[in-house]
Amino acid sequence: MKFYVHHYYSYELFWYFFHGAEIKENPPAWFWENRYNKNVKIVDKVSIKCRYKGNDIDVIFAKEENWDKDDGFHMLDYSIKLIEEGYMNDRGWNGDIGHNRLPETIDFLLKHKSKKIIFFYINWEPCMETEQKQLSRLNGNILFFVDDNSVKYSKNQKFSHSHILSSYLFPDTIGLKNFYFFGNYLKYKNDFKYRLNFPVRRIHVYKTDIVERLKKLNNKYISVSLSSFTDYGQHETNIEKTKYKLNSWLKKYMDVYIEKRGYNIQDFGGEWNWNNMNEFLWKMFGISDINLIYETWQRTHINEKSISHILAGKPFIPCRYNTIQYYEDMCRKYGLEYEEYPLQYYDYIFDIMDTLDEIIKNDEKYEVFLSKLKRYVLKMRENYIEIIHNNNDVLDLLINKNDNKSTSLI
Amino acid sequence: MIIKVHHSYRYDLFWYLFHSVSLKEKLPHFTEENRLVKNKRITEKVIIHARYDKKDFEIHFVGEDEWDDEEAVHILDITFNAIENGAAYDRMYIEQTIHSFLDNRLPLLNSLDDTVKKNTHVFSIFWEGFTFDKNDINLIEKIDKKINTYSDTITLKDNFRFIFTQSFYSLIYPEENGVKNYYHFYEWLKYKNDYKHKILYPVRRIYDSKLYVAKAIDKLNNPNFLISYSSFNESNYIPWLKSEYNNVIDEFLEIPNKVKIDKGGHTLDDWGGEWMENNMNENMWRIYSLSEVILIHENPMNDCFSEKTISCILSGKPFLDVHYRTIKRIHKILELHNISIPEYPLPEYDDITNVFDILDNVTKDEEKWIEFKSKLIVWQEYIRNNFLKIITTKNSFLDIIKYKDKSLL
Repeated sequence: MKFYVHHYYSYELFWYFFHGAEIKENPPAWFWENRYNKNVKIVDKVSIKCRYKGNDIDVIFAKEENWDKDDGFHMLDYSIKLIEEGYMNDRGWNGDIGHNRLPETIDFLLKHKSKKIIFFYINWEPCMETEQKQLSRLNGNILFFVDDNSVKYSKNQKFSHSHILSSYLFPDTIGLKNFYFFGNYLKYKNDFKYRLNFPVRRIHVYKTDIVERLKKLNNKYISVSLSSFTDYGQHETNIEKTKYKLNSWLKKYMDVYIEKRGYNIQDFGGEWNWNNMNEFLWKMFGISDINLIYETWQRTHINEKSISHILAGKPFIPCRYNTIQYYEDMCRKYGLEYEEYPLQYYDYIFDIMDTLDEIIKNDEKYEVFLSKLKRYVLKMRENYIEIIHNNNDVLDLLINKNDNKSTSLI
Repeated sequence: MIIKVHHSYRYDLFWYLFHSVSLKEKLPHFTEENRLVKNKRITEKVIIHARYDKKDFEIHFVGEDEWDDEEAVHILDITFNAIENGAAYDRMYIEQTIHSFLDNRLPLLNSLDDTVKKNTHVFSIFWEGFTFDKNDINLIEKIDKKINTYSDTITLKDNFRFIFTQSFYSLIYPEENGVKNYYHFYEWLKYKNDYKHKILYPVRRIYDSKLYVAKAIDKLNNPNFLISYSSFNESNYIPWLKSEYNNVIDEFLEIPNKVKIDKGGHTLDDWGGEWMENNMNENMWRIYSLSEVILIHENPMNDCFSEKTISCILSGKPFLDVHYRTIKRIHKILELHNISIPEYPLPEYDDITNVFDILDNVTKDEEKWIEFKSKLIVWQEYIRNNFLKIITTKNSFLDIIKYKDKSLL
């Protein structure tokens, strides 16, 4: 099986596209051109041979060349393309920047639709109608993989959980890989000031409602942390007045203020994803045993909030149980067992406020609960490390198609 | 006083140069140019108002412009220059860094008006202990003597002056160095208590003096010691390494009971290339987890600090050095800042093998080991606290220009 990857070579991109593959030799990490500067692009073609579940894989990083070839699959990732062109640093929220090159990219792919093309559109956000409209233009032999799987709008649309997971790690533009290694140290700390912390960064009325409910519990073991995000206003240039009001209100109730732009070494920089995740790792994981996390999209794709906790083995409770269901679904997909989550199904965190309050106030109950939650997260961590090391959903899909002797990819 | 920094504005560059100042307004972290894309270089002029030791400073980040200002103090850092023009990614010394300065900036500096030259300050901080007076570089001869030059070499050489706080921050900034994380790691590392070994001697690049130490460790036949070596030696990163040190490498590899640190692992365990950030990440997450104490091997001929020592100090990782000169260097900094010198738990030695009988004995006796390690940690905490105090209250460069060339030394 041959693949033409239409990007500049990097060892990180190799792992992004071909995680799970068996390699005889480590993929080259550096070349003479980028020996001193990792940002220098490797313009020459790079070929790597590997195997996946008994199949020989021939990978050629060819950037703009070889689109005429019929003897293999052509791979293109939209976000990587934009990163290579200097439009973005990572896949995260990029406003219009992230969308406005899509029509021309789709046009380009359609020009080559007679080829077998695999297109990745993974941007860690739900797919808007305008994006869906563009993506649904893809036809012929072009398969496309999106991370928002909530709506199916084309038969060419596929889902690769392993690539979504890898997209957070390779290239490591947001520093998430550190969470995996951090797990080896986090497990020793057990002198947290609080038992449960609800971290608020970007203000939203949903979050302030949760703060209000948490504060009504009057539980000394539960804290609320507030980030200086709104005070600095980098991410959102036009912050509505109501958000400033909510920010002021939150300041009255918070227990910990996270000053992102502290003095010198304590300065975690701007609101770019790499800086945010770095701050999260070093500052937010040290406040409490458990983090209560608010994820906007729970059931459709991975979010950096929950996956960072899983990689680090940090106990967490999501505001919606859907997040737990998502990860458990994925474990089942790969045939992996998981521990029982120590809370019964809830629709929203408000449903279990009293239960949590009762557990957290009671030393004995809390000890049992925390121990179960730790076991759950650590097992999930083990599973996810296994998933990324041994599986590749795109390769699985192609191999299964081959086994079924289908002439078409679709 | 107006200071013109001849680089694009970056918040980490600001802290590298102007730590310890008080700010009159919030430090900017972005402009509309890089609000969403961090890597975009800020081309517009950024002005910061600061105060240090009762003096007001107006700091202008002006890029390549405004060299004609005769009144202002002008600053240029050779590494940030190389990063800006794409010759380097981080601060590790590489020939490209200095050549990008010699080729692109030095002709301009040497052509400046004499008044501007006297007000121009060039930072050449590379952690290698030399001032480019060798080979074809010969910066000392090439740069006009009227221009002020600074380095991280403690003992003064020619017209290069030592600036401690900038030298220290040079390891932390640019953030791409990956050393800043060690400061935060301190809060977590202290909890780990299940190390398999007591002392690790990690060897990345194998050469003769490291073979000498490794053989001495092997001779002890003490399971509390561990030697690790990196797959670096199999790479072609330094092309002449294998031919020049082939016999040394072969002999080193024959030493039993070593652990190989393979940089290129599978997927998540692939530590990547030989860039500083990758190396520092591997060092922090992987090497530090192997033993309670780490035996670092600084080059005794270099009279400056490197990432090996500073990362241990920042993270609180107990360390010994193959040469006592490193300890003396640390103490020298305290002395320069009128801080009393703490007691070090080992007697002075030329190289660490001179005290191997002590370490052999101590590591075999749990009580003695606990006592030794406690003393080492007390010493190191004292160093960490005082170094942090110096770098957060002092600014070596501003102290020099404030006193009109009357340096700390």
